[in-house]
Amino acid sequence: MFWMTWRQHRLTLASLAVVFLGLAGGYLLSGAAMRGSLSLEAVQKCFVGTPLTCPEWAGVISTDRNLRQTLLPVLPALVGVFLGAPLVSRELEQRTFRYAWTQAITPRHWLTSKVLLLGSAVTLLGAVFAAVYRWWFTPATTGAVTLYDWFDVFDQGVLSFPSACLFAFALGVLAGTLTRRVVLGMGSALVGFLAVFLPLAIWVRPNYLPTLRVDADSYYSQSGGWATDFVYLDRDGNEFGMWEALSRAGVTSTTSFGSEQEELLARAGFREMVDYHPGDRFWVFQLIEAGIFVALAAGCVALTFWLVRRRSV
Amino acid sequence: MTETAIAATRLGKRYGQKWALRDCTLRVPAGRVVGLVGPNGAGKSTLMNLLVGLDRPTTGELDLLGERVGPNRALDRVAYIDQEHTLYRNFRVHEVLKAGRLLNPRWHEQDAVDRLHELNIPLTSKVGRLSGGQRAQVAVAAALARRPDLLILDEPVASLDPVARRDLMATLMAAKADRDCTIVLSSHVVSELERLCDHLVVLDHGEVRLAGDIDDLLDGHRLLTGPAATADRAPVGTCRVVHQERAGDQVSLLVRGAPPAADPAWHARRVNLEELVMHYLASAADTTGGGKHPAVLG
Amino acid sequence: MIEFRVETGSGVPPYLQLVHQVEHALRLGQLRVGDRLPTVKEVAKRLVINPNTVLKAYRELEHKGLAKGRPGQGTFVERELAGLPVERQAELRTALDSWLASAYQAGMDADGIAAMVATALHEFRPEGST
Repeated sequence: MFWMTWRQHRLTLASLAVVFLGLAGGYLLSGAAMRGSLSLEAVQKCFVGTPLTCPEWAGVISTDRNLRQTLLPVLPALVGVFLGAPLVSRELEQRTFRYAWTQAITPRHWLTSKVLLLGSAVTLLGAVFAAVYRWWFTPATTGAVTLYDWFDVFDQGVLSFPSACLFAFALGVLAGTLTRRVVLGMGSALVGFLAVFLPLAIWVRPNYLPTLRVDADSYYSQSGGWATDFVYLDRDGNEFGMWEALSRAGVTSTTSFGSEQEELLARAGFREMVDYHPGDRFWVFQLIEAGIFVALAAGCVALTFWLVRRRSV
Repeated sequence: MTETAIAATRLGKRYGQKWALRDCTLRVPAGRVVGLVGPNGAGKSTLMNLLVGLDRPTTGELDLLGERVGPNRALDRVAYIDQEHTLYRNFRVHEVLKAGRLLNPRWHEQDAVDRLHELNIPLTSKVGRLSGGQRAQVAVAAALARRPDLLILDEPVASLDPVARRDLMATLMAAKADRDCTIVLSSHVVSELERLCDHLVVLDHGEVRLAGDIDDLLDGHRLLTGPAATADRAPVGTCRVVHQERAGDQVSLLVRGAPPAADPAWHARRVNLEELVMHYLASAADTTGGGKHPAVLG
Repeated sequence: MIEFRVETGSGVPPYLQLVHQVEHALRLGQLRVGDRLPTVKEVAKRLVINPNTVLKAYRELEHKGLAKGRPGQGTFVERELAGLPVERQAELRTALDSWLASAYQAGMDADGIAAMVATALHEFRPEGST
């Protein structure tokens, strides 16, 4: 089955490898170039300062920021759309399952081999990219003064990113098996991945562990961690959001929030507090998220096996 | 070799509310070439899908070559070719053979290479570029290289022109002469099966109407023709009347068994395979209220 | 070597057609003792017929003592069928002609007669044979 899998999916695999390894290569080259032309300290400062502190690398750093906010988090979806979704649906649509599943190996064996081989390949691709990305981003989190924490690039973590790739792949396989059509399966794989990934990243992830609460000054004086919420406490210890606190402090007409507003709040007796996860929770969070993705992937694969075994396809 | 190639007991398959195959009990001795006939939608493909494990039966049991068929049961002695002779179209012929070798523990590549060489089909051709007849030959060569004890073909020549039909069936018959095996082929054209098959299964509306060795079936039926006015007094003896058909003031009765000799007003003669099948399907149509049957003849 | 033909739809089972053709060739002297009959595979492939049919025909010929299979070599003619003397054939032919005339007189057509003859031949069991 190794050869069969390679023969049937080599084009898609190669294209995905071009995307993943191409991006990794880009980071590898720019990272090496930065480190070659600047001292480590200067590189670290590049991530902190304005474009003026290292004008020649400002473009690279902003490109990364753009990629991080757009393409990188949904990169795994590509795997699900182009590799996962067609895996079963193309066989059904082109009726080649009538050949593939009537050879001496069982359909279960066929599916197991393909899922294992391709699943390993995409996990490996994801891991390579995430490892390179971690190396590239290291100076941003290690300077004497840093703006960044590993939590800021959580989606590209070396545990969570490959697991997200694996999940997207498994979800794609299930979507293709359910829809029995290649294009429909691809669409469902994309929508399905976003429908899981976005709520997970936005609402579920902050709650993997209970947050800690400190007042803003001590939060800003230490570095790192992931601030999930800012609240204001009045003298009696009641909790308010920023805008509510402002209106209670008598500020009625403002659309901006700056030092002036902060001062008003302080004068009205409000204390700013930060709910956050300390930076040393990063690996625990990575483990939890990877665990969730792997469990979801396993569920998708199990469901696919059940569907194929039932031969309702 | 096992004595019985196919043993089905009350096999049934339901899709939603509709039974595609019902109460199918069959026993096909090993070594036969079986013709599975019936009009479109009679359940031929359903039965074949159950035989090769592409579908699960709703009811009943199925044994092939003495082994019970169940989920995830590899049937490495059973080969199947579907109506479109499906192969991966972007594979080259030698890749089809490689796939066969990797997917099947029983594999005799030289069989396929020799056969394809004889047919002048280059191993470097892309499957998608071959003619329909050549693609069918590649599919058959790949199936035969598994040296199956049971070979199942769904309407193998329906999509082919007459020359390709003849070539494909010649390949199959020669292969069967080389190595004894059981072959099942479905068709909705009875006439083409007469020279190919020695066992017949007639399906209609998901049910088996007639099954048996063709020589026995032909020996066991007679067509009685006589005046329609005395149809109810036809000399049928203890024979069962399968079907009767009126044409003008004559009536023809297909009877099972040997009718007692001769009331001079009645004439008894043997039937050929096509007539036999037509009468059985027509009788099924009468009893199921299906009206006139779609032509079984191509 | 004998060239077989098979006609479908005639009502005569294909294996019997093969048997008849061998007998015919033996009568006409086209096949002689020791001649090898085509292999099952050759016949099956050339005529596109079921090899079981050819096997059955050859078994029938063996049963009649006309041919014998030798393992690994093929099937060979064992015995020739003596043709009848010409006078005797003419006698029988005359009898047949007069029967045909009466059949036509009775209103039968050529197809009906052919079918009746085929059936009668197939079902006729001369005394002493099985």
